[in-house]
Amino acid sequence: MNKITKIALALTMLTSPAFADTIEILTYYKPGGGTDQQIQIAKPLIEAQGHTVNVQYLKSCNEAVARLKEGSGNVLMYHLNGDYAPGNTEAKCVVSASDAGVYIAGISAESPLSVCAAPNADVNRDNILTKPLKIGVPAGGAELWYVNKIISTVGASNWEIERYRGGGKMRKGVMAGDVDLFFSTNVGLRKVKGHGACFYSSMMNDPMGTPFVGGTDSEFPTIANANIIWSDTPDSVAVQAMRAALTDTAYVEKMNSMKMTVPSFVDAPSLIEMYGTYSK
Amino acid sequence: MIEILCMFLGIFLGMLMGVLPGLGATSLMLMLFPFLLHPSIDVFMLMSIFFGIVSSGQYYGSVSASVFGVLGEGSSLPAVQNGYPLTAKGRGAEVLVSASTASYIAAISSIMFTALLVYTIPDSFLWMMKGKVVFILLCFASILLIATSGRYLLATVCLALGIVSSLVGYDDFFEQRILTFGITQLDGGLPMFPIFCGLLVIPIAWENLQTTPKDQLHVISGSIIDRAKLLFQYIRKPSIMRGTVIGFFSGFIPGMGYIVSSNIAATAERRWYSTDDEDKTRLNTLMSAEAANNAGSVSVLIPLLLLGLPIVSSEAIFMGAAELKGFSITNTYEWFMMHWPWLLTLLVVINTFNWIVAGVFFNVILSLYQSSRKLIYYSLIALACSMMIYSGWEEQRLLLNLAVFGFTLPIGFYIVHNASKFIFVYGYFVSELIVDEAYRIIF
Repeated sequence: MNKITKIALALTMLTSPAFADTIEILTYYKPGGGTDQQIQIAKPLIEAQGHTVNVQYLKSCNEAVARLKEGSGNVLMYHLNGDYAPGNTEAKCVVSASDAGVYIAGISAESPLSVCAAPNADVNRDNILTKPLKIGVPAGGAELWYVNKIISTVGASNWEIERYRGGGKMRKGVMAGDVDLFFSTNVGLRKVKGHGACFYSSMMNDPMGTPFVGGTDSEFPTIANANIIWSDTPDSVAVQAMRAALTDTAYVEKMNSMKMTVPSFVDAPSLIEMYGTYSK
Repeated sequence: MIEILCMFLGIFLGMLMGVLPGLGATSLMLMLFPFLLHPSIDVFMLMSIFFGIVSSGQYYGSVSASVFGVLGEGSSLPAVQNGYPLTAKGRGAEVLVSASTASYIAAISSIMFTALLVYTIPDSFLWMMKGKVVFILLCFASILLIATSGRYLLATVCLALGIVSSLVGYDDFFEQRILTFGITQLDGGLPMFPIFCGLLVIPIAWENLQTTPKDQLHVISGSIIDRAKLLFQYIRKPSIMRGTVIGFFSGFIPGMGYIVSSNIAATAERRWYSTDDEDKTRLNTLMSAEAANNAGSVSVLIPLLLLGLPIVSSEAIFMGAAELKGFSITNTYEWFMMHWPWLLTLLVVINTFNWIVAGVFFNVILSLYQSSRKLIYYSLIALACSMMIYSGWEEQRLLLNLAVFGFTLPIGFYIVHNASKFIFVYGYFVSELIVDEAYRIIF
């Protein structure tokens, strides 16, 4: 093999997306949590493409955003859509899709949020709008906004909101009997053993079959709990590898088994724009 | 397999903790915190380490107290008061063998009671998970901790500071930044490890470097056969039974745990069951206290694992690490119901191992303490500093870590009252439970 051939081959390998790279995934959520669960499902699928994946658990969203913006290629960041409030400098995470060094890589999965009865709570369709009830809601994301939206839509003035620091602590209150209703993702719902019926869902065609709160109104705002994946470079090796993982049958089936859906990349920009309109 | 290795690591660390005065379960857990947070350490491994530490510490904690009269943690006070005078009379072997056997009987009894309780009436504990109940229990625990600290004002201030320090950063509950002063790096909260290093770990290690053991090394013997005979002899001993019952129920009371229970058992034994033979009373008192200590170290796990309610500071730290691994206080109940046979087997193995080893290696441990005490403390200080620098570098906030450490270290040396500083730690870890429920009650 002559020198020119060797150089040409080396250049081809370096520029090929299939060339093994180190991909850094940033998250500001704790190891073992819901977001990390999705990362851990995607990780082996990216590694199977020959890449090395390095997951970084950062202390805050803004640290992750700073790291993303400083990234020199192959950096991805998982970002919960409930924390996405473009233009709000007081928000947990100061980031916007229009920021320099921030590009859309995809959405890892979407889950509807539902209003369900706590175990042993005496709630049914007949008394849900009349009996004084406490509803547990995780604070911090868009859940509070949406619960208020549901309350005004269905006329549930009999509900009293109990806010909790995240889904985990809310579920503890649910199990202890502190609340009668709770607002949860489908994944979180599985963790509440013996929960009652679910009455309202935030999305049409909820995989759990829970009725959409907006009925058949196509104008009614839908909401999902989803993870936006940002990239520091458009169409980098990391982006391509992540997209290949998100469309992998094993990934999609796993998400579906957890009653979540994986939106297509084509829909991602419009969905992210919609997430940004949720009022905090 | 990896859990077994972690268990032995925990046992080794517990031995070290037991023989090194001042290095309690809380300080050790704080030192290990960055290591425990590593993603490769799962909840099972974490528990194996934690239970290894706590159980072993109970066996070996009485060694330095009984042999050298050095007070480590508060739970060792009965050993200093009752074990050390007997050791000075040349009865060291009897003291240590009796203490470890009483500890073993109490731990196994407590494990059996716990299994019975969990197997028969698990759902009856659910009411204790209610926010208001947890809030009341934590307030009660805080008051008890302050009341027993001996420095009420300082302890109260430390508790309040612990609660506030934990809230620094972007707060999801209140949806706003608290005391971040525009520093982005503080969004994720104050760096915890440098705080605890500066406030507790290094000052305590340094303080213990300055102390000198009172006595020279005693040669202690206690063959396994003799101890096995003693086991059957002691199994019906009233002092051990009384201590076991006191310790078991103390484990359910926040703020009390096994630290206070050993002192209560010792006081009760001396007050109501003393004999004319002072040496016999001392030995009975020591055994009762050790039994209470160990029984409590098992029963204290019921509120922690069934309800996510930490009773003592070391548990609060454990819970902090476990929560970061997805072991939320929601699923503790389900987790415990699913895994309690594994958990109780682990405790039986740890305790049996400790009972056997405590007898065989008394002399090894004591000579290690005698010859390398200073080296171990210096190594611990170096290790803590290295871990702090590493975690700062890893999190890309090394400067912040060093600044916080530099700020807290003089405070740590200035405040010599360690009990108050431990209350700070307790406040730090139960902060969210208290603040969130207080908010729900008020609003």
